[in-house]
Amino acid sequence: MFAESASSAPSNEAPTADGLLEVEGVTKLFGPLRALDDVSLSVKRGEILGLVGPNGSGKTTVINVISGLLVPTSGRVLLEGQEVSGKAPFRLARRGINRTFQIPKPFPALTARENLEVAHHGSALADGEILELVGLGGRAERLAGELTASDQKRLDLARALVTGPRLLLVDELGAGLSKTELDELAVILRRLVAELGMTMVVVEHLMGFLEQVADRVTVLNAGAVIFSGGLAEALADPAVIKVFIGG
Amino acid sequence: MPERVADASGQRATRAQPWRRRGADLAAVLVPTALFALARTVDSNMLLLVTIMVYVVLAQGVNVIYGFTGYLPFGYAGFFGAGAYGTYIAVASLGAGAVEATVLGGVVAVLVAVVLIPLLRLRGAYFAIASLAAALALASLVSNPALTSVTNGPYGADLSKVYSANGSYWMAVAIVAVAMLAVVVLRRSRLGLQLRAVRADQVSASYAGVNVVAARTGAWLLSALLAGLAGGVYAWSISVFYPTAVFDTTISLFAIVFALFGGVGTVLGPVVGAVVLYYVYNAIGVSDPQYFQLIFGVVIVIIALFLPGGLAAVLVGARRRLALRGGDVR
Repeated sequence: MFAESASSAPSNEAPTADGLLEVEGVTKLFGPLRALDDVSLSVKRGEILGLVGPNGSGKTTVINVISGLLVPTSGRVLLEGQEVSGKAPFRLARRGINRTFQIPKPFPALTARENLEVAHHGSALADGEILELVGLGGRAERLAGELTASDQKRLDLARALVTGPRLLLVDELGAGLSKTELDELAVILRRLVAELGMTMVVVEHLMGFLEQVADRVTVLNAGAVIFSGGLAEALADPAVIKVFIGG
Repeated sequence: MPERVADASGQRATRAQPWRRRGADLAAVLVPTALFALARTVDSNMLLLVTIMVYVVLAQGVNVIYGFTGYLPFGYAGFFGAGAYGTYIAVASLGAGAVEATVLGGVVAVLVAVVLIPLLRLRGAYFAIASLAAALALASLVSNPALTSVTNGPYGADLSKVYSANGSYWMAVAIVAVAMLAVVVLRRSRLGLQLRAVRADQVSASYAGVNVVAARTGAWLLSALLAGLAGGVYAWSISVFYPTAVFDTTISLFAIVFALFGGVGTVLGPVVGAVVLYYVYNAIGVSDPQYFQLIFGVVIVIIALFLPGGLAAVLVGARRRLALRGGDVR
């Protein structure tokens, strides 16, 4: 199904392929709270963009807006030049945008295999291949509610993959995973990009993990973008250092 | 019909072969239908049998809307009453035959459900209360003296010119078969799987590409159709009735409790629940309603506290324990 590991160290340079996702001046208000403040970012086809920032900086809100769970107060989201802001998640899933959740949300009374059968099938891969890919090949007939937390995360990823996303939004999939599991996950994500041409936005706190997978990072603080560029440059940027370390 | 057994590690037991599944599905439709068809040779009280069949269909309708979507329809009697009055109007105003009129009763209930689709925007207690209010409003509309020329207002509907004890009995048997088939097909279908996913987590289901609104609407309309057919055949069977009789909130409560008692989300649970509890009701509820209400109340509390999955969950648990004891896993 897949060729040898594609977990080679990513370049910090943005790929030269066409843009897939454009987030233009998105602001999201929750009453008086400005959760996102004029956020703009772009992701090129085949790229993995890391989205980082302290707790409450708006990372998941960005994912929620892109994936249709939230409607932006202003601004817009474009997929391949077409506006998709505010479209229902099921429509976006069918148009090639899908996501995983920080806290996985499998259908507990269904088996792992049935969790995939529910989904709209847009992937070139069969369900069994996807379960193998995420490491659930031997647990296809287990009830999702009885899988370990780590396996539920794998299932969450598998269910998103079944829909055949061109843009996959990965929300803190690495949280709570062991070093070995993180390394496996990094390999899987890089393979999805290299061999299926997928594009990703990865929200993550774990810098080591981002080093393995992200081509670029965008740093958020208090709902606003404060840096966009390579991870190494981000870690040397005074504004980023101030946000993460203080001073 | 509970079919899943998981071992201690959560591994699902051997998946039934397709032919076995088809056989089980066929039996789930044919056995209850055949038993009801033969029941008149054992019990000569045909009105009682028709009423039990009506509640079997209603419990299956609750099964469809609650078991597959989580919507608890306290106003379910609204569809039942709509079906009964749809049948009456078809006979009295359109001159339809009783069979056609019963089917039209189901169609009228579906039309009412279409009008009430916006209720599906609500959840939990809000939906339950709104559906109850809608049913009461419909009852008021039907019994309005201004509509006497159509519904005969509060003066009751008379279908005695098409009365047929045998005809309505066989129609009820046929509707039971339709209800059983509908639930079996729904349970096996992708729509059924999607509805179970929606019930578990509608956000996740939406990201799986499921059109949550369309899936719920499908279940809502199917549920209304079953209640409408039940109302139609009930109207045909009793032939004279008043709005208060067919829009009675007790009808909703009975259907809900019967379904919960047997086990929602299963095929046979609502049938068992309706037959057992309605016979209990018939045995003591008419002569000593206070005792029946007491028993009914205790049953509801026990279900809510200890058996949220109904009798079906008890059977599944017993199968699981047996499988573990016998090492019959995987």
